[in-house]
Amino acid sequence: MSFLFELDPKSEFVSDGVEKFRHEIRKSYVEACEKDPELSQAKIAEELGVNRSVINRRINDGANLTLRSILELLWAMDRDYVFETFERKDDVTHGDNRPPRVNVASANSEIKTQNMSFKLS
Amino acid sequence: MATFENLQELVRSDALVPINLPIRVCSAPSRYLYATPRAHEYIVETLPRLPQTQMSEATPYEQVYSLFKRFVCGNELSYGDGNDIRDINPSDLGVWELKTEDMRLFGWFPLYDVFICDAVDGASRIKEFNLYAGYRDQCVAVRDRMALSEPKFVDGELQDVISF
Repeated sequence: MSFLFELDPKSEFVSDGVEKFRHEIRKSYVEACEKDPELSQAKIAEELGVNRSVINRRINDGANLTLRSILELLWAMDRDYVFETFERKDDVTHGDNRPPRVNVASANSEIKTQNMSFKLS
Repeated sequence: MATFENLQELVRSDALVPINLPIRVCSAPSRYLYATPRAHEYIVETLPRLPQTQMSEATPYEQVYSLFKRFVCGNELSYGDGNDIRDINPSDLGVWELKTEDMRLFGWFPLYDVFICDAVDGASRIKEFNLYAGYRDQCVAVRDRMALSEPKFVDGELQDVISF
């Protein structure tokens, strides 16, 4: 017996996107800390007027990553971003639609899916 | 040390269930996932019914799918001090926790890059009822009874159990 773990195309598209945002936020935090050793979750929390545990949950768990909370985090980390969408080339219901890997080695962070990119610099 | 042949024997005897993702997601897996019957039952029966929490952007089922996808495709599970994988104290028991925003998965590595998941539960429930030690001990007990070749788990730190 084996188990094939599947999601419907819409759920897979959404969960991929959520995961990529989450990944990007965490990577941005690591990079921001490397650039500014004084930066910490406590400092970000102080700047944003929230408890440190809120920032920890947002960065490490991806909790409550609303558009506003993402932008506030980026502001507190001195990060900028590029956001654009484009036509999805592949039919997510058929064929080879493996999601592209995020290039973690690049100097600037960039998320690119089949129809969306999100870049932090 | 366990071998893939050993794991296949356990699959044939229904002691383990391989967890596969669609080929389109990852045609050449970098890491491998198995579940004990209990974990498999939870993933099939309970996980799809868990509601999306107010703070989350994805359902628990979607979260675990994403985690498995990253695991199988060989993507990152560790970011500075924000890890989606950690060993459970005491670390010499070789029990590991994989985590998503709302879910926690417990198991061990019989081989490098091979994870056997023995338990899945909600993070809030585990914290509320302090279930970490219980799941850790359950993993050890299940592993002890399982017909795995000795040593039954890879001992060591993160870099000793999975590739980066």
